[in-house]
Amino acid sequence: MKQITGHKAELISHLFQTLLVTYLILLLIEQIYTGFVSTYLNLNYLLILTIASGIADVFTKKEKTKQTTTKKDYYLIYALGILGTIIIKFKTNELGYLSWIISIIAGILIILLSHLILEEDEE
Amino acid sequence: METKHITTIKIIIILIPAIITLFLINMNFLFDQEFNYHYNVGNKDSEFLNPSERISQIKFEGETNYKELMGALVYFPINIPPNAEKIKVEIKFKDNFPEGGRLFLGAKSGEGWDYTADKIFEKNSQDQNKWIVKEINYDLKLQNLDLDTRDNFFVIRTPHLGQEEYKNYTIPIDYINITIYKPGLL
Repeated sequence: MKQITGHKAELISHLFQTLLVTYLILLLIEQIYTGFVSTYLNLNYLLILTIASGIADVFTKKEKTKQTTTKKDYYLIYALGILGTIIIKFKTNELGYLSWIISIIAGILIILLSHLILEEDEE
Repeated sequence: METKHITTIKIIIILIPAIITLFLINMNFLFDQEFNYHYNVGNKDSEFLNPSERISQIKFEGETNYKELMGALVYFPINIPPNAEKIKVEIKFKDNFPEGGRLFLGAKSGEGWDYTADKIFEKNSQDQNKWIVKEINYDLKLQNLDLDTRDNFFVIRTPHLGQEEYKNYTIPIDYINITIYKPGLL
């Protein structure tokens, strides 16, 4: 299949990233503050747009750039791990002490998997 | 495409989340809102009331289509927006009650199966088979309701339907209207 190149590829990639981040943030807000988004906006429509742009993004040709891992990346991983722990604790609060176990394990998993991906990229 | 056009399109793309954010802030905080939900219980596709084994098949009476309550406790959900202040529930049902029969509406008020018990009808006349419309208001600021639960938030309670001697009784329901009022800052 013919790959999309040049400015079109750049725009599709930009659109997909924007939609994906928007969708994930709205989904997170909806999970924490139920009804804030879903009362006014059907997130499934945004999901369909995100998937469609994601499929288009698969067919774009990307220039490979050499990226190096910095300390900032690791700080980001730890911050996301802690954020994940807090969110899961919040959502599973009714489970009592199990909630702590689940959320801490999930946070550790987020950090470890992100570490693995970063180290894989470096290799 | 020129670089200028690319930049313009990129800015338009970034405007998508910005517009969504502004829209959600406006709707959630700034303006008064009134949400009206009309549930035609007798609609072919309506599975609004549950559990389904306590609800009859669709029945027709002239141009009215309805379903019948066959159990003492029947539930229905509601989508309450954040910061909602008042809820009005209007029910159209048929007076098919035995003498002293009552109909309550309950809103979820705590964990488990805790519901309020608000009497909206009590049979005290000889009239039979008349369609009746009743409404009840809830003030979410004054009443301590469990707003985290959306499924089964309301219960229609008809105690006599749970008694053996009235097992052949049913209560026809035509529609349920729910109006939710949410104040805004402006």
